[in-house]
Amino acid sequence: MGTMEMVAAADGREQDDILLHIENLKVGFQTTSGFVRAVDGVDLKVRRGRTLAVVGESGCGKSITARSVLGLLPEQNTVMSGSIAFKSRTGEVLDIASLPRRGKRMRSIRGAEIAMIFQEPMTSLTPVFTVGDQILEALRLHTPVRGAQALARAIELLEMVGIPEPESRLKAYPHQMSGGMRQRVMIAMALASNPSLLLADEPTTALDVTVQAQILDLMRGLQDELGMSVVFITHDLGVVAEMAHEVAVIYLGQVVEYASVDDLFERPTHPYTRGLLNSLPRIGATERLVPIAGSVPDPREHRVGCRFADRCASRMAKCDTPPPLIKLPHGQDVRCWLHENEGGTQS
Amino acid sequence: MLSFIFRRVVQMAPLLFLISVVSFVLINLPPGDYLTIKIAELEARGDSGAQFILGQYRERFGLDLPIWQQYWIWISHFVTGDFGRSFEYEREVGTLIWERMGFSVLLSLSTMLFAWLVAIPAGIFAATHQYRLGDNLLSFVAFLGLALPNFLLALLLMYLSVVVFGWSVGGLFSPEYLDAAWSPAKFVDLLKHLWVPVVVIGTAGTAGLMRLMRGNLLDVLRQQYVTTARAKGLPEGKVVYKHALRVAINPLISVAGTMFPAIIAGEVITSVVLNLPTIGPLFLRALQVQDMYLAGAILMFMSLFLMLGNLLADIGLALADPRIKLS
Repeated sequence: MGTMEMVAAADGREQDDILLHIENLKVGFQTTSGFVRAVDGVDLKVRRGRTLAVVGESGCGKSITARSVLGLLPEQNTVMSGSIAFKSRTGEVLDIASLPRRGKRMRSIRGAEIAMIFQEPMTSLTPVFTVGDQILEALRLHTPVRGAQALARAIELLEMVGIPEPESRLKAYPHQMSGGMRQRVMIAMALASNPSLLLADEPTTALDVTVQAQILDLMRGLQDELGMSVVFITHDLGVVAEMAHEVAVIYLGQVVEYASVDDLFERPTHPYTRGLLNSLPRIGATERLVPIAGSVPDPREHRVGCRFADRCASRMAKCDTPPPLIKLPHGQDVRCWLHENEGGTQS
Repeated sequence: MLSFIFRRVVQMAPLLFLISVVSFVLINLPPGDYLTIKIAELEARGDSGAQFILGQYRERFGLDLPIWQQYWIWISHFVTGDFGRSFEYEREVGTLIWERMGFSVLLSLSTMLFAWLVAIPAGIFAATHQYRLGDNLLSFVAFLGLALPNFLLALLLMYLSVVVFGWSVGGLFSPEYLDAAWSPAKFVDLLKHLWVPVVVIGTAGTAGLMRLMRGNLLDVLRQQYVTTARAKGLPEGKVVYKHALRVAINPLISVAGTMFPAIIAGEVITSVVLNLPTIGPLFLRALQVQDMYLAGAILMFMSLFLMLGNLLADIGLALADPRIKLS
């Protein structure tokens, strides 16, 4: 087998391995105060059984990206383009972005093949139905189990997410549970139909630190057990280090760096990523924290060139032209002119 | 739940007592009273027999006694079911009210039914089509309904009903059924008359309810759990009707509690214009001529309805929303 063939075979395996491939996703909102480019050409790949962390500040477009995968964006005044290729259980590759949002095909993916949990466990469950009702509803929607079998499965799901006394908890209303317990219920509900992809939109942000650690442990354990892929959206680099296999750093609606979790923490390459890491406190360190200069610009402004240029210490003349995502030889992607000559391919 | 209901009913007693004092004082407040005027009138005509009847009134209600004693005589009889006598109609207040109460209740309940049946679907439609043509159209009609005075609407509908359908619409019955025994034909005749006051009285309430329903539902549709329901893969109809509506409709249950007495009190103008045999015109007349026992009894009944309505609404709310505990 020649070198070329080996590369091709590896490429093929990688293709087989990719569950979700977002390409050039753009989402904009028409608001009364102007057009907001929330997501501006995001590319992401999620591989089977792996966790991709999507990191960024509030308003960078990370949640919008996740929501567009399930077609959950508001229908009015939203403009969306790009493709979201998802490998369905049936084996076919669907472009979710082009599916009618209220259509049957979209609904057969929502909750069944791709499930989602959210940031606010306190308001994520409908207050007037019991936890059991809401889990059973998910089971009825996506699985053939009914009656006593469904009840047993619901209890099993609650056990799986570590809820004590699951039988009696089925009859509880959401307001009778703590935030951590509600998030566990959300996870149980998400897992009802064995999804191949779980979108987790800052699932631990609203929780106490100890509860946060428990939920993260739970999610990691469940992922190992069920072999699903996870897209973990967060602004917390500590959580990234604990959860992710791969990391995409997003700034103002664009991926600025994509790397394996080890590479990202060992060799942060984009000035923004480095800035983020420098602004993190470390145990034992005595030097002052270095914040990133300036603040996130208004997403309504239309910018030419590098989005981060205004806040970047290494700014140069070339930054007025938009930098491409440069593939570095060891497998890291970075959107920065500084690395123009190190890179292999550009895209 | 039962102890809550019991406590609430017990709590009504002191409240009703306070209301009775205030109503009694208010009714007696204007200078002069019905009887003085009546005596002057009768004496001018030289009617001596009337003096005897008026003397009976004075004795029965202690009208020469201080006001607190008069109050005591009134209220102690009131609780035994003797509501006093109407000077104007020269009949017992109890029989007068019972004659009309049935129609008032019928009118109120029909109006509420109409308001809910129209307002809820319209509100849901408006909320799920926010800022689109249907929503704007419904909002326009709703504001028109809120702004249009009832008497104008009543006259308009009467005109239409007579000219277009050729139905007589004054009152609740056609003349030929007025004193007839109940029969299917009389019922149909009642329905033919009832729709006009129901629409007239109900329009403003319907418009208000619709705006409320729309606002609540829009609020709930923005909640996280609605997104959860959608992310689960539920069809949009189920998301709206099962998850969102069940929460959004709760405030309307509270409104229903105050609506019933509000309609009885609010039908006055319409009932005068349409000549309806309900409580409203009776109440208005009683207040105008200071027919004090009639006015007082109606006030007391309306207060009681308001309290019962609120109690029922609280119970309904507790049944509908597990987060609300009655204690």
